[in-house]
Amino acid sequence: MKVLALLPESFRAAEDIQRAVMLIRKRYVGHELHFGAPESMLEHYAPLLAPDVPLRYETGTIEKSYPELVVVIGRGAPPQVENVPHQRIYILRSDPLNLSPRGGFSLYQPAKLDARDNPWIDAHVFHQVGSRTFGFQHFALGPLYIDPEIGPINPFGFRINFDHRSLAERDPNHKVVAIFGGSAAFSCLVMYDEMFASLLEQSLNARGGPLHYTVLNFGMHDHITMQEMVTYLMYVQMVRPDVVISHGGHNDEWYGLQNDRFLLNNYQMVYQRHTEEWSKLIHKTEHVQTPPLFSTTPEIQALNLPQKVIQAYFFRKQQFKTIVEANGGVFLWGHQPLIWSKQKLSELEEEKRLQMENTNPNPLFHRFIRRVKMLHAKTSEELARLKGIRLIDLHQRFEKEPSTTTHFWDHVHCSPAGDQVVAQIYHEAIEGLEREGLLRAVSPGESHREQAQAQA
Amino acid sequence: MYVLGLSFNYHDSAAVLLKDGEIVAAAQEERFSRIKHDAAFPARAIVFCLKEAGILPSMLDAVVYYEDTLQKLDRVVTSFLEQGHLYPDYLRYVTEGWGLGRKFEPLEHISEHLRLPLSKVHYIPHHLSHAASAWLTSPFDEATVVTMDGVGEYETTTVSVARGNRIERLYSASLPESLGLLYSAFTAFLGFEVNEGEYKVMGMAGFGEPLAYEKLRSLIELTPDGLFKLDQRYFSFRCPRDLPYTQALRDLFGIPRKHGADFRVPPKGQAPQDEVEASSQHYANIAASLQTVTEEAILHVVGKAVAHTGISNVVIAGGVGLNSLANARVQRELGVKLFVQPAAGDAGSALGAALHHYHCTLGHPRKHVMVNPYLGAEYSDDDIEEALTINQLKAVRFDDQKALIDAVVERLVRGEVIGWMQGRFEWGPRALGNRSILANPTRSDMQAIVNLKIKFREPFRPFAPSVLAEHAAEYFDFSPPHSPSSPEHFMLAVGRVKEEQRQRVPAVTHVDGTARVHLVRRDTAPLFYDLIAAFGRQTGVPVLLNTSFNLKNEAVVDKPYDALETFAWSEMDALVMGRYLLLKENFV
Repeated sequence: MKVLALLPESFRAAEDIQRAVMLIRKRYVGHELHFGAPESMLEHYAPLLAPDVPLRYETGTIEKSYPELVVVIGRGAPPQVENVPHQRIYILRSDPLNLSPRGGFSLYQPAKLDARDNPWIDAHVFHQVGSRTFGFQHFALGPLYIDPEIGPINPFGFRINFDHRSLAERDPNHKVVAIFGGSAAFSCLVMYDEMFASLLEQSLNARGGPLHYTVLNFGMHDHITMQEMVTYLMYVQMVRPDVVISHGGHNDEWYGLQNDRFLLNNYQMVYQRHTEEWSKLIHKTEHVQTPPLFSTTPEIQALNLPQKVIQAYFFRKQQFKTIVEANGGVFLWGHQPLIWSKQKLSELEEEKRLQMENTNPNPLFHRFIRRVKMLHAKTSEELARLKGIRLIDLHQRFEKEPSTTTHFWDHVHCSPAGDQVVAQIYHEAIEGLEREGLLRAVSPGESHREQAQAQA
Repeated sequence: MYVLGLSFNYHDSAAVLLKDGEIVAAAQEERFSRIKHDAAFPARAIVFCLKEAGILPSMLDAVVYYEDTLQKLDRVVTSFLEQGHLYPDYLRYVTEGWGLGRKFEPLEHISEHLRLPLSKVHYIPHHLSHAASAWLTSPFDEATVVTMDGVGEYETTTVSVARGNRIERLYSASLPESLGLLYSAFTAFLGFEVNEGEYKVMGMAGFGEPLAYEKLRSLIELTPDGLFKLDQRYFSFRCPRDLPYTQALRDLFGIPRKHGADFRVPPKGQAPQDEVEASSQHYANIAASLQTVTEEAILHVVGKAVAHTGISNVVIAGGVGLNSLANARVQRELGVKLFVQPAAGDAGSALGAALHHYHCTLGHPRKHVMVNPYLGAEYSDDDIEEALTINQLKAVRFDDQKALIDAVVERLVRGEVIGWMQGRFEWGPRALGNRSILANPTRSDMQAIVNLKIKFREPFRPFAPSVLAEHAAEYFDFSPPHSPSSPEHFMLAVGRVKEEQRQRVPAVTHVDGTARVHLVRRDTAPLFYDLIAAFGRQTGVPVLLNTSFNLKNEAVVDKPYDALETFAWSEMDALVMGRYLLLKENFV
């Protein structure tokens, strides 16, 4: 297939374009790939594209003869294309400050996903009656998040490229690590082989030795701990993972601050705020006044008390831990890093931080963001006092990460370099479990039962 | 007769309600909206005022806006015509902002919001609002009236003479000659937010020496007519783009301080040990120089004004009136009796607008003297219990006031930091004992504790002492108060802590030996007075460290939930709301 990738008229840094080119080349291996650029930029792009030579591009010229286009967006306006019907067009954002909530390709034309991008598009009724676009989709047991354009997903949107149920029957030396959490665990700004789940699996297996690891990513956009538990029960318990990593904190804090006070204070319930809006839509009760979502209006919203948010978070996480341990798994409580975890930010991170903290027109949003930042640090302090947990406090661990590296592409989501650090930290934690004998190889002749007893 | 005064659209919006010339209620919108310096239409403050009086909008006899919008627009357009080449998008930028914010038609906005005929909605010029706010609440029979701020319509500084219900303008300065904007320009240069960081500059000044005085002094000429002229090559006041100063100012003073940069100065007399200390000292010296030059300019303006009128009673309003260091020098060096309206900034103009209409337009004789600044909202036991219950918090209720005071004093003595919420909140930016964070001033570590662990703010910010009025002279050198309305009662003048007492109250003694004294009288603040008195009996020091009950960049608390939330986020040890005492351990 012939593919044309159009590069932008302006960009932030050469490394952004280099990454875009790398992603495009990787995606179109075996295809006839050409790069195009405005005449004024040809010189700039030539060294970045070598040995390819960029084609001179003007709107309404060469793009028509390609069945597939990738339009790379830089810092300014996107290149204009005159698309033709049946042409397939993807957008690829190259500026790290403009990625959220997704870092890879996104389908622009056709407007709906099809089986080429999402092979599971008709797999079940909720896909069939869903929006068939990228993003949240209603499901019987809470929302799913569908983003098939940054790497393979399974029928429920998890970034898993095989049927994990096959792991239920496995060799005792084949260990399974299941990761839970929100979009940071999903690794939403990086490609499949860049996410920390993939990197962790690679690094654990690269050591050789008798143990083999499979790392499953059950991270999902917006998930809070209660949804991690539901996910575990629905999809994961059946394979009895040896290790569960709950990589979270931010979403429980973010929503805990804003949630209904009765539910939070009395029942330790945290939920996505937008589900209130869904309820209004379903029941046609839009007239009922509820605190508006932050991004839409500068109305007042009294935030919940931090102690109550932390209590709810700890209560639910302990509950998840109990379930995992009852199923024979080791529970690692990961307190995720945020951009504020780093003491010194890279220039790009600093730009993003300022954008996050200062540019929203709603001053109450700034107050809210300050609260999230403070709460994440406070949670870290409280976690240090909790007994009987295996805490991996990545918030603390990121404090000294150098400003020469950009680990975050927004306030919560990591760059490939950030996910690499996360993977390394969890790698060390799992090696620690091995040293403790909690993940030990079965010697020839030793039965699975004996091993389980030994571990117990 | 009910008259409502309003200020809004630019910064510090507020509403004030008069009933027959007496202030029924006065509040800034920020207390209710929780947005510091909220400039939005003060809908919530209006609701509070009307509720306090128990009236409907239709019962208002007049509503008065604090500014002449057409004149202001004329200034914007004129500035653009003359200097638009420096910033070609200036006019579009301003008018778009005005359009979005309905700033072209504030009177119509008021009329629609309150469903009142436009004939009941009035306006008066900006500096007249300021002047009226100070004169018509002052304790004097006649006064020299000085207003100084950034800019109103055109004017930035005015001098008037006032008697009875007449305020007669004598002369004024107009943009771009502005002491307020001079201070703001350096506030921005020193890495702080304009209209917010001016207090921080004052605090920083205490750490410096005025080594850049000559340079700074060269920027301003104090003219024989009692006004001043700024060297406009260094400033961009008329069509400002991002910053109110030019490259020339950078060339003169070097690189501007980065927002949020570390601040740490070496001990007095010692050389800086590292880059942070060196740069902090450099910027502190600029702040000190600015403060000195500003004080000189204010002394010049006020001194010449008094000479012109021959009246040594002086009333000041406008944002510059909040410069408590300058106020102290005005009293001390000019020997005048000074009154500064507690909400001297634009919020106070709402008060001035209403008072001017009632007294000057309608001719009613003066009657209100500002002694009691507690004009905001008050909350009942039920309100407090509701806030506690919904968060499943248990507090100890004290039905005996003495027992409550004893319990609080015991905690203060042992070094705890207490959130203190009582009665109606204060009018103006200062916490005067009804929405305060209180601590023991005798502990030398308390300033750092409150700055860093409680308020999460810059380590160099000083704290004020609240002291029983009759004991103040034992601790502080300041001009003897002329009346219960003198600036020290509203924390608006700085005094020197007596040399021999500095060791006794280290937490409220700023690095330069000064303190922004707050005199507490039993007739206006009986509970707060009794608390300090009890603390004095226990420690021998009838002084408390008093700072506003808020976190950095947030509005001072209004209602019980705000107090609870601020308490929850900070490291305060206990919270007192009315008769309820809540301890931090109750949260767990």
